[in-house]
Amino acid sequence: MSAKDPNRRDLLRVLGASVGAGVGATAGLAASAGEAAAAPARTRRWGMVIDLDRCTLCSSCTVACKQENNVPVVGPDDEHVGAQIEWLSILWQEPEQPGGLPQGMPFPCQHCADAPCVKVCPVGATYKNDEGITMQIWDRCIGCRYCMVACPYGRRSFNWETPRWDGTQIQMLNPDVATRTGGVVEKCTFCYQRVRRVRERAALEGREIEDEEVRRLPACAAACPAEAIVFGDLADPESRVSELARDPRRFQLLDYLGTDPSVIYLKRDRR
Amino acid sequence: MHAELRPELRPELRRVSPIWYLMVLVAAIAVGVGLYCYSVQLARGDIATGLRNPGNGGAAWGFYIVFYVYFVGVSFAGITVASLARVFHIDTLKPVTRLAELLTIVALGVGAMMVLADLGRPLDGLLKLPALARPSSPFYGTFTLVVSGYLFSSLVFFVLAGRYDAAAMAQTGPPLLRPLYRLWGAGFRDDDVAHTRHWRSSFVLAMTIMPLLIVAHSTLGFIFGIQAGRPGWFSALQAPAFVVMAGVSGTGALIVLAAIVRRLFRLEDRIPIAALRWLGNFLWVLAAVYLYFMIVEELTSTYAAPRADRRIAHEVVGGSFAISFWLTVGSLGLAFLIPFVMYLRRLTSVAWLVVAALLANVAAVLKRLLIVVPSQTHGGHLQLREGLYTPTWVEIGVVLGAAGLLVLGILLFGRIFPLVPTPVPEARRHAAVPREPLRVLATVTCALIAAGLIAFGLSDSFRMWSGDELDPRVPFSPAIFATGVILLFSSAIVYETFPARRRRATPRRVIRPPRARIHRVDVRAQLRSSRDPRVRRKS
Amino acid sequence: MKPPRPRSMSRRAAVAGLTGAAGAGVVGCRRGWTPPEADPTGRALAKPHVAGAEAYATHEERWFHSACGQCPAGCGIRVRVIEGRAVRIEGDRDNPLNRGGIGARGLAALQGLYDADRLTGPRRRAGGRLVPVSWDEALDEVAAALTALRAAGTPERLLVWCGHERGLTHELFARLARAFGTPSFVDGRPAHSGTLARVMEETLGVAELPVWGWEGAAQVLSLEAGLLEGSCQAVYFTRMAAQRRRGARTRAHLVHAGPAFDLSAYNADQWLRIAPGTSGALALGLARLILERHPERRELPETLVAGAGALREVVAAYTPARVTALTGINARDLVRLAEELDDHRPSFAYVDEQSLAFSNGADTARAAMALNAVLGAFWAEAGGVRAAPPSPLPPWPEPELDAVAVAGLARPGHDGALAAIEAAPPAVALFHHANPAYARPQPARWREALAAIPLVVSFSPYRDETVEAVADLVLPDHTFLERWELATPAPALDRAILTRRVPVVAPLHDTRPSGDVVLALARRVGGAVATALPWPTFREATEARLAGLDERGQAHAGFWLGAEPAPAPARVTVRPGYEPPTWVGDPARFPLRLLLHRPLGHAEGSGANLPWLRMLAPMPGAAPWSFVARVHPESAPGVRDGAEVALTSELGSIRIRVRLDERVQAGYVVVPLGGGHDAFGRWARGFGANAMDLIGAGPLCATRVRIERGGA
Repeated sequence: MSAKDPNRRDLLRVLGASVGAGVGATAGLAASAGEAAAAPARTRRWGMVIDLDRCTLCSSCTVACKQENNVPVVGPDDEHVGAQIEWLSILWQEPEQPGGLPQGMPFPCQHCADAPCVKVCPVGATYKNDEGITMQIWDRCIGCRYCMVACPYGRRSFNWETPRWDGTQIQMLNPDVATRTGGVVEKCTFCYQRVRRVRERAALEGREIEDEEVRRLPACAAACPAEAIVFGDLADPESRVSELARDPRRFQLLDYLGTDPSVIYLKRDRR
Repeated sequence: MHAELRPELRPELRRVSPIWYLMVLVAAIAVGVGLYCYSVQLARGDIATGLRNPGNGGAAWGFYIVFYVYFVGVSFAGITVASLARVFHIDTLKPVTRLAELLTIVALGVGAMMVLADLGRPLDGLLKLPALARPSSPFYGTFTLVVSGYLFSSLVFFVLAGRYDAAAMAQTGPPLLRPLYRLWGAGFRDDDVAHTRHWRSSFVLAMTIMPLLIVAHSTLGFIFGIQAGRPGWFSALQAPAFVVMAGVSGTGALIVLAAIVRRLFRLEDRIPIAALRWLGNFLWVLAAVYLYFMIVEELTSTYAAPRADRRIAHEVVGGSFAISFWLTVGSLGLAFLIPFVMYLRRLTSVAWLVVAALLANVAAVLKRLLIVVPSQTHGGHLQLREGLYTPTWVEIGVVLGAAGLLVLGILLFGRIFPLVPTPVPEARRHAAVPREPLRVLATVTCALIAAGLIAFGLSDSFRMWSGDELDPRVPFSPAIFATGVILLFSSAIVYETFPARRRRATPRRVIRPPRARIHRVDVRAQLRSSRDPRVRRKS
Repeated sequence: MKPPRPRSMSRRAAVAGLTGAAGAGVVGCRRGWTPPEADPTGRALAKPHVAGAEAYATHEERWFHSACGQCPAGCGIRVRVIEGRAVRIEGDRDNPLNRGGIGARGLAALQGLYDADRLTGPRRRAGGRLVPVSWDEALDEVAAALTALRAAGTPERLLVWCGHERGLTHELFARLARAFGTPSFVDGRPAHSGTLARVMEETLGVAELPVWGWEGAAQVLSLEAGLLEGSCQAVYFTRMAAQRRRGARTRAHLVHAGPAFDLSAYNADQWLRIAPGTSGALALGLARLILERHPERRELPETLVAGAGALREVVAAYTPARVTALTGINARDLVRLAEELDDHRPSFAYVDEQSLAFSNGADTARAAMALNAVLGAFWAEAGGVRAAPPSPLPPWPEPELDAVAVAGLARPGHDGALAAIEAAPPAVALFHHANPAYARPQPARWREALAAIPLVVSFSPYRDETVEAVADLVLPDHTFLERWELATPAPALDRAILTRRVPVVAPLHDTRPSGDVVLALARRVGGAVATALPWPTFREATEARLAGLDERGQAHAGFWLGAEPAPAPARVTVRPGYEPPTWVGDPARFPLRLLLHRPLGHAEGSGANLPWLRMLAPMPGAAPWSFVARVHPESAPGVRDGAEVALTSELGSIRIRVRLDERVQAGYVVVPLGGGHDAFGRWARGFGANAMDLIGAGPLCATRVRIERGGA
């Protein structure tokens, strides 16, 4: 999100508009259209291709994700069954027909282009950023859990209690990612802190972000020994991720819901 | 000064059954339990509830949302009955209108508390919802329309209708509370002009409230009905079904309340059985409509529905929710049958009516549970882990506390204010009202300001002027919208309480109606008339 | 993200400074801080000052190249350290083993480092409880006991037990034992001392796991192996499995013969459900079919394969019908598999410790090697089976032994068998990276046996069972992220790798590297022992050890890569045979057979104290945090899915949840290892059950059990 402070003139305009709502609305829309035109033309859509034929379900991605994003460990006892915080876990699908192959897949937030969770958030704590990532402002969340019930993928987790970092465990927290408190919903951000880092470095060096430097950018992709996870800009037809996304084996989870996920899977191929 | 308001007609304030004390005690204990349970939840976090992540086999919404929907549904009855009574001149219902409005207000308040109990961060919710709420979330309607618009319109309706009695209580009520009564009465003068003004303004209010009511209850339905990712929820039927179910539970609750209040405050002579019978008839009509909805729903979700929808339907009808489902069907069926048979046989038994009304409420709670929970625990399009939701004692305690608060509110109110409005004869509502341009101007100005605030608050809540910002351009726009809604209904208060023009130096003497014109209410005559509704029309 | 350029010199200097600073002045800060307990307001998230942070500028970030020590694979890692706190572990993209990938176990090392239940300093048992003691006192006590043994002329009464870790610390312990004069040195490294290593010595002359030619193989047959879960090189194999499926021009096929549906079965192109312990018969049957296809060619000249003649005779008996009867794999699959293995060369049959966990393990390994010989897999052009490359470090000169040592070494010693320790308890026992009070069969008996030893010393950094239940002295080691180490990973590539671990953070607690402790003990014992271990610090010992490193190799940040593969021997030796696996217990009373396996999250010492590993599904498709026995529904009549049952053998009984799974061979129960700790920190304690209670000494999978509803 580009930060732009509302200046006094804007404020006056808006206040003036409140007298005649119709006129104001037109003015406001026109103004925002003008601002959009001034924004940089390059629009990204970060996306991920997960090749299930490469993936061996070694689960490194799930642990790497927890490490990078300070995802709290939620204990094994009965009370905590179902309270697990999962940004990325392994989804297991039994075959629909008897005799079919079961399928496991690394299962991050799908970062839908048309995200049901974003629509329902009553306070705008979760939103699509202009790079196609479904983000969440932890501190804005009020914990109504509407996004959780709206998400068809179940990729949102609620902090059912304030996370504990016992003793020295606290020292391993990644300083790049804020910890979340109890009563807040959290989710995968495609490791946006890493995206931001790369973007800042590219900006410092006065160049565009190269596809090469983002392919294994998120923690899950970086850790994957099978190199099954590839990250990149889906809006750039030249990128590796776009190239893979054109593979005939491609599919999106629940594509019939029209959510258009940015996570594209490539089918498992067995003899 | 207002001796003519006949406070001796309010004997129920002094004559209560000893059961009243018992009920207050029980309700107070329930509230205490609720507060304790909520404190446990605050201290331990929401892990103290039986709710869990839907992707891991839990339900993120459970008892709190079920009872939120239930309490808001109950509130439906009040304002509906009051509005219907006003719009269609149904005088049979007049004695229960205040009870009905009271139920609406208390139930809405309690419902709002259920939302707070459900929030992971209630204090943040209280601050951020007024500041940031977005209309694209169905919760926006819930928090602004329902809580501000719906609650406040009911409140205005309630306050204006109660001015007559409040003015009387200001003289004869408990001395400690008299300033409160005086404030409520707000200079009400028992003249025909004031009654006529109220008659007019209440019509406009009722006509405004009825569509608002449909919208508000539909919003509740939309919370579930427009989620394409939740099989079992995603249905156009949700909104109308929620409106109807609200009616079923609310009418039921009102019947139970009226029957209890009749006995508890010895109001058998003031709340005629005809009012209960009318409500009974209303109940069976609504129950029949809802049963029809259920058949439509089950047929659609089992006949050739997609796999996930069918899965839920099977789970509900014959799986782990089967007991709840068949209990719902049975209760609702009886809630229809009992009053229907009474209607056919032209009988009225208060006891049986109460049974039917209670069953209607059981059905309402269970049916909401069946809507909210199975779609989360068994409703994955994907094969996510399945599980079960069982409320913990903390959730049950909090809900109990909320119910206790509802009962306590009504019981206490019944001791300080008459629960049955003093009837105003038809003739007194049709006096010639003097032209008062200032009064009209004030009212219209108030309404216009309200409209401006609504237009601005709503459009800014939509982020129409925020560009690509997440926040509304002006902080607390949703609160501005809600204020506008409140102000809009307040224009009725302005209209009624605007100080009358002083024509004479001693207006008091002039305006006070001559003794001969004071209408005496003959209790016996009213009892008679209430037994035969046709008599009432003529009087 | 581009990895920062390796700056090995400046890094080394920084690390040296770091460790120095830690030793000098910041101990007080560390002690002054008490760990925050759970605070519902979340204010506890204020991070404390850490030792070593003085060497950093505000929010300064450094990346250290090191090597993982969580499992024998020894992947290259890069550790991100911010202001003295290690916050992230990533794979090293330059390392040819893992190429940037990293396993779950390696990632969880951070949790091991910052485990809240680590030992914070040396401990001595007093009145049944472990109480703090100073390092000097503790070392003096051990040294006194050791000196007394030598003075009494009974050095063989010292037992030195080193666990799975491969590295210089291990070598120092071995050298200490030798110079001291005890033959009782237990080498716990499976890659070195396990069944497969022994068979490889017999076959290729090198007592190490072989190198499997994944890079070029077109077809791989896995014989009941824990290929992608429990094997020594799971990360490398994962990478290769993926690359051979998608990355290469020709797709390699993986066929897995195994009794239950595990990760290897999930990943295989074809999964053959085989009767457990019979894969030797499968290998011999395949060898026969392949030999039959080429009557005109002489596939196995005696000049290349010793025992080729005997092989032909042995395999002749394994007709498809007989193999089908033994293994349960139908003849059609068998014939097709033989044809594929033969046609899609290079191909090989893979076995590892899990394949050999039966009573006939050695035979299975020999049969697999016979099949590999038939397939011409040994030193095949690309994708064959080779001996492990020789160690890049020249052998250490043998320490000079004094008379006491010579006499001691000549006497019989312990090989780690429980019965022998019970019969003749040693006087002093040192356990490094070993937890026999939990991880050996019959842990309860082990505890009694260890209690009979006058001085039990554990070097564990964690409060494991050996520490809590039996140790008289605890001299906690650093975790591998806090100390120097020189280690060779389990064989995977055809070229040797030597990895160098560096301390990435200042030591968290008052612990000491075991290498330093061994040197200190040697100094205190004095005499020939001190002469054999002359270095003042472990760091200097590593430098000294590196002195003879082969010049031709390539040095990288964190590792050294050898120049050439192991030379092919003149001929390989095969000695095929097959015996059916045997099972202990009365079949009438114990109808089911117990299969134990190491699940994905099982690091040696079980990894149970690391919640990230603990919560991993023990089998594909399981829920997190599940610890279940799997059994075919027909084998457990009347048992509900998810019910808790008692699993009983002749030796013991455990309570465990059961999962009915049609993908498990009927008649068997599959139980993961690594549960049922009664110590080892808050995450391990009381989770799951320890199947070691059920089995006796001998192979892991050789015990009959029964399931009783409702628990024992």
